[in-house]
Amino acid sequence: MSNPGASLEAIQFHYDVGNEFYKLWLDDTLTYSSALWDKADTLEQAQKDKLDYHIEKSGARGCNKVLDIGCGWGATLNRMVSTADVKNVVGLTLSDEQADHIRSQQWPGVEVHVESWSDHNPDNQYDAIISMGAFEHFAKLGMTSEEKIAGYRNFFQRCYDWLPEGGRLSLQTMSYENSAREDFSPFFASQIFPESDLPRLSEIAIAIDRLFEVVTIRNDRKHYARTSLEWRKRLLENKDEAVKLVGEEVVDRYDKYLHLWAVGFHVGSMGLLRLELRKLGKAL
Amino acid sequence: MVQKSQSEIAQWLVSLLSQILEKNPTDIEQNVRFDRYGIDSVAALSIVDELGKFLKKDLDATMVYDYPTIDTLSEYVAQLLEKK
Repeated sequence: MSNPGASLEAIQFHYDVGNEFYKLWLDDTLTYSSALWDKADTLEQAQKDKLDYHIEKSGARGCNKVLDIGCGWGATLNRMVSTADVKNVVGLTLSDEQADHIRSQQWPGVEVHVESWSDHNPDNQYDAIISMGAFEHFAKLGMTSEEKIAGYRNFFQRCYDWLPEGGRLSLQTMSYENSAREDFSPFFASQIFPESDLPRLSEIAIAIDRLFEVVTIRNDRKHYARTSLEWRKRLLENKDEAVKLVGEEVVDRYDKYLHLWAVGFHVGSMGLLRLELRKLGKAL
Repeated sequence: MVQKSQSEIAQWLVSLLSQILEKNPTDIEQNVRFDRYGIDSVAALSIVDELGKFLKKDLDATMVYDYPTIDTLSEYVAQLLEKK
């Protein structure tokens, strides 16, 4: 089955700007998805709280083998083996730079593959699955809702096959809320995330039908607005260094994107879904 | 950062909006919501960017949505400047 979402080239366009650039404005673990601001006062703590939230919701703590789909720079992988007593973790990413970064850390029990979920063929099942900030890339621009749902269902079917009965997938994704793709500025599609499209909650609900049940669901869009503003603040504080690394045009592009991002989440154009999904058993 | 009163900020915003919208400043109502003037998120960013340059202070565009008229935005920003 081919990858139904954004291509390798499209993912690399966004994520391979350079690790040093991202280090200037992400937190110290390079976590690049919305933080969880329930209690935290700092971005660093809010990102750790987010990782722990997904570790708990997926049931990963103390497990033998856990999969992280769209593992970024490996913050979740490292957190699982270093603080949650997980023996082995496997991360999937489409970014060479992210994979190289993870390998260079030599974290024990951590494995990374530059591979789409659609090409992943593990020998054994996983005890739990986490996926944050990857689902946004699983559908291409221009797909109909039916095509998107079919692609999402392929993803959920894979996760279903990889989990034991009752096993959980903790999924975090942005979503369309009071908007549709056509409402967004062409700037997003062409300059930030080429090819990618966001899901609607209703599409996810259809795609998991008879595969997973929803255990908990949160829409933390205000958390993403706050995270985006914090990232932008750090980018502007380090602007001179950022310009030296990637040039003024790229820095301006990211400044604008993070600012628009914050507005989009603030006003509810986009949502930030955190879904705890449990694999269903066979029907009686 | 530059200290400005609420009325100075409000007048400045009237002038900016009149330029963006290509309208006469007398046609810009201070108590009318920005979205009624067709201000979208990209335009909101421009407003906050220009306002930030005027006040020499970095501002978040989300404030345009929390304080969606010239009256309320200028009052909020003036208070923000006083606090610092």
